[in-house]
Amino acid sequence: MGMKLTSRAVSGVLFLLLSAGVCAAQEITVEHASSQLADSGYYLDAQVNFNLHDDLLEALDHGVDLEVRIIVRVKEKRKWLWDRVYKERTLKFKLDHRPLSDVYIVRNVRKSERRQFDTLENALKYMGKIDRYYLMNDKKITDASGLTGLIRAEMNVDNLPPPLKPIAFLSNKWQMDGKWHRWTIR
Amino acid sequence: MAPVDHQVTMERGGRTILLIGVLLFGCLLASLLSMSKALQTSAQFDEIYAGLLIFNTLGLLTLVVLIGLNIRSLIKQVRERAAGARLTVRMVTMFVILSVTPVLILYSFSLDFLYRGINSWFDLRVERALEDSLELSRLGLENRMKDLLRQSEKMAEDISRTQDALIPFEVDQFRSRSGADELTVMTRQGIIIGSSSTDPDNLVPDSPDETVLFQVLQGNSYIGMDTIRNAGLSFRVVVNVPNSRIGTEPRIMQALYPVTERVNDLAQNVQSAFTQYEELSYLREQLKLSFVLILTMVLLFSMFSAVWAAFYSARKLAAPIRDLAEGTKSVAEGDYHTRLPVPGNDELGFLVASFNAMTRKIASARDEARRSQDEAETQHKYLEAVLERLSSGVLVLDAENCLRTVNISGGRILGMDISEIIGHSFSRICQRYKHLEQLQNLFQSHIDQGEPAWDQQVILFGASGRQVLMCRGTSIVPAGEKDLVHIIVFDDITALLQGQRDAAWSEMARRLAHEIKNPLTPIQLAAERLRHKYLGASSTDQAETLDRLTTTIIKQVETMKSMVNAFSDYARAPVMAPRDVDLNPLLEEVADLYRDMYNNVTITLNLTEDQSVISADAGRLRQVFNNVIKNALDAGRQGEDLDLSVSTAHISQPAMDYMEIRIRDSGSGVNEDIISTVFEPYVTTKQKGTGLGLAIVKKIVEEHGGLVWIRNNQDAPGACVVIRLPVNKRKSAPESAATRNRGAV
Repeated sequence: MGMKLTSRAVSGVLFLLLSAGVCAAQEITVEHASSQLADSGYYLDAQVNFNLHDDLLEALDHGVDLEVRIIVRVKEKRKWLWDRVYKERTLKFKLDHRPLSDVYIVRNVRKSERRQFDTLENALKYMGKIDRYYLMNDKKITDASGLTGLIRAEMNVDNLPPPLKPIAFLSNKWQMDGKWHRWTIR
Repeated sequence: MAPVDHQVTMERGGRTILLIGVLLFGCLLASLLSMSKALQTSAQFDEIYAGLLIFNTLGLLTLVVLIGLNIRSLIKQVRERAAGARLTVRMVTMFVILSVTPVLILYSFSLDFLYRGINSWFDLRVERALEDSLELSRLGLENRMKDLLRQSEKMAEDISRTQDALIPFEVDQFRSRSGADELTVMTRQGIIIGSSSTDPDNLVPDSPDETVLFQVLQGNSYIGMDTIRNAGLSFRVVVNVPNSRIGTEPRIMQALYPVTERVNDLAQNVQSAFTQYEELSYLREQLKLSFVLILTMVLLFSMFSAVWAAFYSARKLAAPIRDLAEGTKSVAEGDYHTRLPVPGNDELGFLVASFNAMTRKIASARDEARRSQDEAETQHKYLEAVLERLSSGVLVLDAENCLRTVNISGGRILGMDISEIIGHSFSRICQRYKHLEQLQNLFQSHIDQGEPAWDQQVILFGASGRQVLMCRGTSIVPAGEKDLVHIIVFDDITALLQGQRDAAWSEMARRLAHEIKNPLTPIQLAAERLRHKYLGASSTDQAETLDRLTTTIIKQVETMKSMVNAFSDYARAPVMAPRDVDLNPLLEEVADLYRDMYNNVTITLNLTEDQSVISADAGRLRQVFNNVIKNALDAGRQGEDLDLSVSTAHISQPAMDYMEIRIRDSGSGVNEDIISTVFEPYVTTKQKGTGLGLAIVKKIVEEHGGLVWIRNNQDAPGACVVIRLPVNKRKSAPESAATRNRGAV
């Protein structure tokens, strides 16, 4: 019994080690992003599509809270130096499932807002839809043509339950990091 | 580098490695503990979990690299058959087996307990009960929701009969009658017509979201549980208000019914318990995997640390033994100054200390022996210096007649290259230097007779010609040896003897001249005057007698004068006028002189064509050949033919290079009784001989450094005179080395 368990354990560890670092699946994408100047500020409109892996959905249905981060950056192009991060904002959403009412709860961590959805699809749509999100004040911006906006979304595996962390760190299924999407600041 | 310095460096290196190893061990241990803490939901380690995982992996890889380096180093040492390598292998193997086996067993049992422990947390019955309780809660809530839906739909019918303008005034009554916390009537576009709430502070009603509105706009009613304003669960009911009158805008009614606190708590508890159990159940495999990961890392860490520690300990333990082996090897190679560092007060330390004491004593003894050897060498050199400056030759032979020592004077006198003959037996030396056979025969006879001391002259004919050696021998047993050694001291007394002889003969000639020759002339004159005065006056008989007697006196006086002159010639030491002489023309000239003089004599010349020349006085050599040939002719038997053969040969041997002239006759030979003394003065068999002919020959030959002897022919009558004269140099190379024969009658 012991030897069998040992071999299984060693095989599992080896599998995890070997599978680590394989390219992450691109299942979080930014469909579009744009910004507009209104009321002395720049506001972001974007649509992020969350196509989560089955393993994550299974974890969600089994009571594991998932945390999603949407990172927005505004970079300033410089002539001779590398681009400077002019502004960076992060939106954090927590998604969980309530088995009694069979609903999905989305919480905006920063705003302490909470929304309830009957379906997961609606919950993910809510998280991905960014409507008039305040980016920055326009007072200090003299020439917006030198600014570029970047947006990406990712799963935050740091806040997963500890037992899930090893597999989350080692498995590409959990390392869902979307690519940066660029748009021109106007 | 000195062994001790090397050891100090090694110790410093070992301490550094140990320090690094302990540091790595501590860091890895701390990291593993942190990982374990992180696994146990300790929030402070959550953020560094990945870092800890990477650090531990790198730490383990570092240990693997260290172990790999140790293994490679050990394999290299074993292949090079380094001292202590095999012992280190055995110790490492033993340590690894002793340390890894229990760890593996512990790991196996831990995994078993881990799996069993985690699996025991979960029970199907508990899981089923939780699911049932959740389902029961759902059913209970659904029944309540159905009632509330019916109640709300009925209320919507009542509201439908109320005009829009009156709704804000009557909505409160509707809410109160229904028992809802909040009641809102709105258009389908979401514009609120009227709203009432139990909370007076709640001025803005809670609106349904888009999906709920969309569902209601489709003609369906909505009811669901929702958490309203973070104030616990509520039932949200949204229904269409029936359109009772034509021309009025369709309306929607939303009612929020409270869930009793008790029900709310129970529902929350059930949901929370179910969620936690579900999560735990879902995380079971991951939990096992995490624990296995940690446990495996601990196992690998323990194993690698143990293996590395095994290498370190084995090296540490084997170091004194390795040092001892290397020290022993150094001692075997002659390095007695090897000192090993004493590892401690244990048995190994005692052994190493004993080794150091042993090498110290050996080094001391070796130094003492070296000093004694140096002293002996100094004495030997002193003796050699004395012997080198000694004019006498010294030979030292061991019991086997092998030459142990010969000084420079010895080599010079005997004409030997002493560097080539030391250690060789004297018989072997004689094979190379044949002229030493006489000397060997001399001392061998004395040694064989067991004489402890002796002295005797010996005559050699070597490179420098005839040599008379005065030899003195003694046999002793040197201190510290068992066998006899024979010491022969010899001097070349050739010149001394020659001088003595010359002096003696000169003295004799002087006396002869003074005592004999001076009275002869008056005797002769007196006899002549007597003859002249009385010959005519005497009678015939008397005259004849007088004539015969005076003639006899005069002849005998003449003879005595000749004899005295001959002695004078012999004793006179004329000044030598040496020059390069080719013997062949000289011998041909002498032979030609006698060839025409005697008809019954056949002279055959058999002369070598070797063009060697000798340094000699040609006139005196001519006298030598004349005397010898004349003596041979005198030895011829009366009335018989005489064959005379003159031959020359060049004989070249180590330390011997000479021309040999053989004058062989077919006469009556020499009586064996006097053959050894025929070259001495006054020795003659002829009635009229002075006995000086051959003596003069010998004298002249010896003056030229040569040797002469006579022997009777073995195969024919007659005798042969052999003359050897040392060769000075060679003339230009001959066309042929063959001996030139010139026969003549």
